[in-house]
Amino acid sequence: MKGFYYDLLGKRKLLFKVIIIIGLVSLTSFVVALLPQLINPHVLSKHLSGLYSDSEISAKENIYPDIEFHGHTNNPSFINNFNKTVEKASLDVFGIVQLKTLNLYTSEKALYLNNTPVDPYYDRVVLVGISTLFYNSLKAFSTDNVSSSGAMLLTEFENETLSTSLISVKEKNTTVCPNKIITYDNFNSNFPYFSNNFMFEISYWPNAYNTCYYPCFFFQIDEYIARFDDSITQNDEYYYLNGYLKFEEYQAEIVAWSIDSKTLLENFQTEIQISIYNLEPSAELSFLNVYIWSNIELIGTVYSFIRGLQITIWGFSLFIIVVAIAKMQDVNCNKKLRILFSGQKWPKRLISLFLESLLIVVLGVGFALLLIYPLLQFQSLFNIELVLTQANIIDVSIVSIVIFGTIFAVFLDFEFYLHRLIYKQSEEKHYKPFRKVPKYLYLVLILLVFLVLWLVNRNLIFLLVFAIFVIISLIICYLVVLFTRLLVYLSRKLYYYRKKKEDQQISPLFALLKMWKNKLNSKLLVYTLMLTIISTAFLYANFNADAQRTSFLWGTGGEIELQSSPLNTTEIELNLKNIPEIIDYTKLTNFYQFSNSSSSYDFALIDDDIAIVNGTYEGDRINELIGINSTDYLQFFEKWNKRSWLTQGKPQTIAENQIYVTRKFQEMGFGQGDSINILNNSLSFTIEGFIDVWPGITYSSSNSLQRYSIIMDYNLLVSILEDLQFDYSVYYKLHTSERDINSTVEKIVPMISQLGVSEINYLNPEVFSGIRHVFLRPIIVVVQLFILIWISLFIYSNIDGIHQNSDAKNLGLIAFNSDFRKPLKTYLLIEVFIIFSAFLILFGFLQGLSFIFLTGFGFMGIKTLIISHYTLFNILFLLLSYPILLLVQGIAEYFNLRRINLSLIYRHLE
Amino acid sequence: MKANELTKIFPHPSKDDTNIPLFANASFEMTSDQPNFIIGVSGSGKTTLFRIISSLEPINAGEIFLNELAIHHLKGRNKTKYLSSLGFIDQFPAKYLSLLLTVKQNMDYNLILYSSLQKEEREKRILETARNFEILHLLERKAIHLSGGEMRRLSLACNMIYNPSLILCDEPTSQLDDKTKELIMQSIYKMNELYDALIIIATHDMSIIGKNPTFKIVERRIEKWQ
Repeated sequence: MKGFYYDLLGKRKLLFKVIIIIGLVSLTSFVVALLPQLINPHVLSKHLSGLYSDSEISAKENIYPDIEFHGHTNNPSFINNFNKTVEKASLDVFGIVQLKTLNLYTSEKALYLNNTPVDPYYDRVVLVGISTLFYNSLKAFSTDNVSSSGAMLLTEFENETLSTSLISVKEKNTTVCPNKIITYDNFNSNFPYFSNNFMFEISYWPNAYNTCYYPCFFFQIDEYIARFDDSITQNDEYYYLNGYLKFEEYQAEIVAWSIDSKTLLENFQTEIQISIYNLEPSAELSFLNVYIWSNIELIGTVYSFIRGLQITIWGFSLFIIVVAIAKMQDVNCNKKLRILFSGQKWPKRLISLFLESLLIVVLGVGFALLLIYPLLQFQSLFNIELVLTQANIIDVSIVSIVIFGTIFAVFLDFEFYLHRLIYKQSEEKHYKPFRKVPKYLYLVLILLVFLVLWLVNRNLIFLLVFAIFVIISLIICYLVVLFTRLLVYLSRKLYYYRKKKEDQQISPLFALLKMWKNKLNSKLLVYTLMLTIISTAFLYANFNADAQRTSFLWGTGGEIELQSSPLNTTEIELNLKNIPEIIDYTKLTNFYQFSNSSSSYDFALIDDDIAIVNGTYEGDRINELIGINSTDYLQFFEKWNKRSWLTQGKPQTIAENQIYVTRKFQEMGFGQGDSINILNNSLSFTIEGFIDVWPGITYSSSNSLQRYSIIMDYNLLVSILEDLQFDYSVYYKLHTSERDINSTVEKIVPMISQLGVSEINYLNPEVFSGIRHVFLRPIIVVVQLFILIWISLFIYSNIDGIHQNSDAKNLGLIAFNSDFRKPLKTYLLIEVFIIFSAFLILFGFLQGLSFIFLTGFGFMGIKTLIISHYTLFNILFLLLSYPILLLVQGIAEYFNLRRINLSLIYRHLE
Repeated sequence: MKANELTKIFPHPSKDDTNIPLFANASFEMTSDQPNFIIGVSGSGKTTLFRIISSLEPINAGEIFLNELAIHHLKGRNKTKYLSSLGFIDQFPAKYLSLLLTVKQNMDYNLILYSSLQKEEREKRILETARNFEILHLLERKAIHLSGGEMRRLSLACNMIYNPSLILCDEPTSQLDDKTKELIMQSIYKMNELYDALIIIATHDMSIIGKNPTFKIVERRIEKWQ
């Protein structure tokens, strides 16, 4: 032990520096392990959920559950246990039970036989079997609240009387005598989710009326079975089940925005199915619709981005650990040889290496843990909240073990190096770690890392996508660095030949540029690589946000869109004119393909004529007829890029007999200048062009290829529709400045109740700042970690003392003849200039690439991109802050090198 | 030490079928009565000879003995034991010293590494050796604060403290002024008197040879030089 003590004591200064380096890289590794906190499901939901649902205000509230169930069974008595089943499954799979509403029911239609409802058009009734829990909830809102159970009548009519009804259930007659009534108004307003689900189911029954309020009889499920089992299950028929579930917001966020949302939901479904099978083997239930989950690509991108940042920082950290320990061993090489020559047995040497590794790790990690709390608190300046929780103790432990393993591996490798040094004179004088490790093992190690990360991430595809992205970034970074080095090389050559020609001495500055060529190249590569990562994330976040925003604007056609019936257009327009924030507006009318019901009406293209068809028509229908006042419409979009509106023709004012059609018509064989007739040739139109991406009408090229849509004159379309007495909607596109959107919407909202406006869609700027928020906050943390990495590299470069440094020796050569400080200052400024120039080339290239990718290849389906002022501000911030950081590091390096003492550089150690 | 018909051949670095003979049937005999000197031009093989003597370099033919020990046949544990019985001094003694430790600590460290003496015995040995090499007054001084000559004497002391059987010195007086050179040589002669170790010194400096046995490497042979 005394020998071990002397060994450490003899290199205590070196050890201290190494411990500081290990501490700093441990700190970066610990903090980067916390990054997933910045993209937890609640954060992602808060900042990104708006991307998938426009901000809208509707006259009618849309009630959508998160999950809809569908199934069948021979015995639905388990319905009473369904809620508990789902709650248990939720706890097992998600670890939480916060359900807003949940229901499972069975229903069967029946016929009235002799009862006379108030409205003779209703010849049918619906029988519904529900859980006792739900029955009791309904009871609270029923009139004639008799305490006993029994049939509860759901009726449209407030003054409905309780009387016996004779009904036929699958041709078996029976009577029903309700003892409670609940009205549809009460039912719809107090149980909106059930109502929505139930009415939706009924609307799909054959011959159902579109707005039907069938009378319904609700029974507790056991009574329902007792009364109607014979009828329903005759001929081996099933009870058909429907249901829905809505999570509370907190759980909904976890379910929708976790990285393994898909797997969790699948497990949730499986567990419910298994539990139900255990309750009732004949029951089959599945998730019919899952509305809550649709974000997997974005979640995957975000998680892969974070994982990529982690891999980069951990990679840098491991690299620094390896080179720092290797340098320490190399500096101490001869002392280590002394130990080797002494014949110390290998178990003893192994133990001392183990203890030394342990000591370095314990002290380094201890140093890191002292600093981690202040560093996490510091993040609050950027509104970033990172906390070290109990769960992170595992991360800290794993990181510490990996660091220990790395240090120990370098120690062991160095022992083998010493052995080779002694016995093979051809060995290199200075130790390079893992030189003898076969190259293929590095590949195996990288694959192993990916395998481990996949097991943790459970999403290989996104990790592979990100790996490809990283490789492409590295290639771009390397090309930029090569290009910059070439420029520097050519400049140097040019300078040298000029000086030679003029027979002049080369300057000390030139000497420094030549001597420190390798140092500059390494620095250029490392800094450019770091900035490639930061810039790519930066541009992705900002351009993606702008692209999403542009896509919204193109899809909606303006910052705000109103939908209304055609009845009050004059009053609506009068109101709009009186809102000063509205810069301009335009309107269009839109007739959608209606429904598949046999009693509905649609337009369809039959040969070259647009005819009216009913529900029995089996061919393709015209999806939309859109009427615009073309002069007004083009004036509204005056400042927009019209390059991609049409594939043929130019957007211009159209006469009544001119139309624009989508590209699907081209597939049918129509060309520009061809004619299409309407209503048995009563009118004839000329096709003036084919729509590609038309703002407010089609939002992507593929959209145009999938739909039959026609743009025609507004007044003509209105007159056609009114003659046919077809319903249609009018849409107003409003243009307002972004800061006035919310106040304008507030002024428009009263029109919902006063003027029949049914829906308001508006661009919510907060939504698009969400993408920036999600991607840029981790970058802010990573920049700080890069600064810590830089500090550790700075200490590493001075690990054996400034005067042993090769940089100092080079400066010393200059110092023999002249003052070295001036050329040193100039050199460092030139270095900052070169590194920053490389960044500008890289950033310009990446920016151009992003732009081309988003617009040229139609990634967003649009061929233009509106750059927001947020993006411009962020770019400006980056362009200013990076050179400032470079200058700071240059100043630090200057103050470090200016203190060198010639007599200490060129003095033998004696 | 006795070497018979020593032959060492190196393969040509670039021509596969060509060999470069360094020693061919070289023989010599050295005793520990006086320090032995080896001289030769650069590239003549002084360093290789030292490696052969240290058993770090195999020979192609011949034999070499230290007392009864066949150095050319040493393997495994025997080789390790032999290496631990050697001392080595070169022109940069600070390389092998811990500059942040004191003189006493450096000597103690070497004793711990190369011997199994207990604490009291080590203390005794340190004092005795420090007295022999006239560094007793420097025991508590850090090695980094020593002068060039003092550091050389410390290096000698650290090597002799564990009574090696063989000391190899590579240019021990290099880059020293005459006075310090004399001091170092005096230490070496004293070392020779006090310790029963064979001392072999490789040098270019003819002024330090004196009347000591000197061997010259010439034309792949090692000849006694008069």
